Amino acid sequence: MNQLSRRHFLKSLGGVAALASFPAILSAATAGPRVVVIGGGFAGATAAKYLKHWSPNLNVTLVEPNAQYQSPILSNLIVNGQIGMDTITFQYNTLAQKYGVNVVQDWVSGIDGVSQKVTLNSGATLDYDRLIVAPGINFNPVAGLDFNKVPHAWKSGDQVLLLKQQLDAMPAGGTFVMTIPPAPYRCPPGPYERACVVADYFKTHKPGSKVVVLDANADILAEKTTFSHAFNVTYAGIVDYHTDVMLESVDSDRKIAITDAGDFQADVLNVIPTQSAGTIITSSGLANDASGRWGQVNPLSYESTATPNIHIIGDSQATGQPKAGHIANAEAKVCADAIIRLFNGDQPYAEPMTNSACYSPVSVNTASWATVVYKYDANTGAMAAVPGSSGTAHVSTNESYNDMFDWANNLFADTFA
Amino acid sequence: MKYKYTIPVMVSAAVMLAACGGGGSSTSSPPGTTTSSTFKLQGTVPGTLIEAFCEDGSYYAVNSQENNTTQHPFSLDMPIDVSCRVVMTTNENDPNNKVITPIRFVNAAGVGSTAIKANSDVGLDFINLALDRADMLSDTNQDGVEDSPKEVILDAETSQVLSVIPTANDPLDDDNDGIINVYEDDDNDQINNHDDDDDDGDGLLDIYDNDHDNDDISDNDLDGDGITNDQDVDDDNDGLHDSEDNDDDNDGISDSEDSDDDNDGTDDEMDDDYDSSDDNNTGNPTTPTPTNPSTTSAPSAGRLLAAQCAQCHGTDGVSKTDIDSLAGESRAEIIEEMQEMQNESNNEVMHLQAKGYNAEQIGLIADYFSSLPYSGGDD
Repeated sequence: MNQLSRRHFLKSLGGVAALASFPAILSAATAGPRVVVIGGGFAGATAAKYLKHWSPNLNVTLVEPNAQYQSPILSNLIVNGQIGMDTITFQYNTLAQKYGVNVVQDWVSGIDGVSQKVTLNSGATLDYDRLIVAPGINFNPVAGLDFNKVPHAWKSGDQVLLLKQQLDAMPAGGTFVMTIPPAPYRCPPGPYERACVVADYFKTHKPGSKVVVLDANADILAEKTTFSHAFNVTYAGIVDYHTDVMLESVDSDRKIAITDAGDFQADVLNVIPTQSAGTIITSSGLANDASGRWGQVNPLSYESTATPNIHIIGDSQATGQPKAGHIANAEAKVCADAIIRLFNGDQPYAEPMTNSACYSPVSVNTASWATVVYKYDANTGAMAAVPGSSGTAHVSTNESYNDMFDWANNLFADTFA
Repeated sequence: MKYKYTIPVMVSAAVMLAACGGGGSSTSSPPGTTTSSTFKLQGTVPGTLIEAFCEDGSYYAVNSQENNTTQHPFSLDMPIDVSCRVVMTTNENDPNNKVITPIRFVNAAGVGSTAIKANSDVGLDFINLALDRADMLSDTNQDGVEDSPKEVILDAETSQVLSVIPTANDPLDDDNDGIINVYEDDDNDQINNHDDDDDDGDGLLDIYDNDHDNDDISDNDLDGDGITNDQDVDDDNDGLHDSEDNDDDNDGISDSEDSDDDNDGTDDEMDDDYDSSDDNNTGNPTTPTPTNPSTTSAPSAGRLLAAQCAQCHGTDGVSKTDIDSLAGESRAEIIEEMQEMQNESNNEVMHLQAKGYNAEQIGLIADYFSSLPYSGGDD
């Protein structure tokens, strides 16, 4: 079989977002084994969906504090006004109605790994046979930092809208300062992507404005070719990129980033702080990697090495795979399959694969991308990139910009619909 | 089904099974390379061609080595854990006096079958085969094929490594007589199907005949091995995996020029071999066909691996965007496209992703998607 037309480049934006609001449904509990999933992001929602999709007899409860999910993926397109928040807002009612997931809107206040119980803020408790913890990231404290004045905009929703409002209100000729935390952090290309889309916005709407990027890392961490070109050529004279700058504190009222390389005065300041696993991981003794910030797991099942019957997926786990939505979805499937096998008395699949793919907008009509495939290495017990499978765009293109929506909308649907 | 085969290509077929994960062209691997995805079936025979026909449609062959004795050693690389049938042919270059002996293996527990599989090397004792037709045990239809397979008795040790698999409804052997379809003589012209360029004697050469057995049901099985082309990794049994074969149907038109690679009469652009379940002997017996994934709880490796395509290609391979759907695509096409992308150096997401998977994994993924209902993807 030979050259076949592989795809067409049209974008279909927003067709996936479930817009109707619907109260959380607590469907009748089935008699099967009980799985509780904490966190309804790309990792947790995918795990809940696929557990029920593949094994409808399971009793799956998803606990998520927010009524709806607002995706960080594509959220920089809100910052530069290309899309609205409704495009990246997803309801949980499909998981409830189509797949029979019990969706509970609440915070988890504690995990009892011995009696296998989860306690909610409401006081209710949920018993589990297997627990999946997918709380994403938490921000390490920064002296003087007030997110109501200096947004992180690194979780989506109101924080992204606040950053957009501040940029819209900034006079032409102003200075936008953003700080990038030391790796590992959520979405490796994300900060560079943000610097680009803001620079592009300034170029069109705020002439004379600057983007000052203060990177705690020694170099651009992702898609270096594309982003270097963007910083040095496309946005020459706009982006001012600094490496090895560690943030020490923030003056939130005066919008000053205080660093080991001096103070940086901003008109709009965006601090992306150093990150750790979600609070429930650290407070439950599951953050047992060398840094004490992330949860070590067995990559065959994502079962915690600290507490049996608890699995950690997504940004909170410490396998070294990137912290990002696409691969969190991949990890969730490996975890869901392993849990089903374990309930059946079998062992997890011995050669799991995951992959990452990610498109990053660089302007209002171009994007870059990166991808890699991981396989389980039985010798090291770790997930390792498969040689030859890793690569990035050489240049940002309009074609990639259109592909970005096809990719994101299928990823959203595979997770929430 | 008359087809040509040349021994050296067997090597590249075997190498392909394991060596693609790194993204290099498998054809560049040195001849004789073996990998963990194959085992060696070894033994001694009179001067003989040894063939293996496997349930994924793949074909392997090797000649024994002349060593100036009456017992020539052979070593045939075969895929691990794939059920295969072994046929041995003496005087293979003499059409009028060749003797074809299917082999039936009997293990130490007394279980016998023509279907075997293994996952490590197997050593057989000397197998004494008839060297000309006068010495055959029984050949009532005079097609040069023994009427019944020769039994090879395995000792206890060999029985441990070589699994004998009782078969029923064997797609490679429709009448379950131990003589695989390829070596039957459908039209009783004293030329077995393997050597017959017109199996059913209808005057239409097999290469142009989509109904080799003349039962008015379209075969979609070019090589007559019982594995329909959409399930067959080697449509023409030339020993070259279709993804490596630039002429899948051996019609002399290279695939790049051929608008109908598998010669089933359906143009490639339109051909998903999807409706073959209605009119063909479908199903790949090496892989259980998954039932509706929404109602099953039995995990399969293919289901899990295929789920890793869903981020971009949609849940269960049903895309919501302009990215292709994969559900219900033909197994052969998925494999071929993945192999093409592995061998091309395009800096594109899917070309890189393709290099992340080895041939076995790609086969499992293709098994799974091809088992799902067609969703309207365009190849």
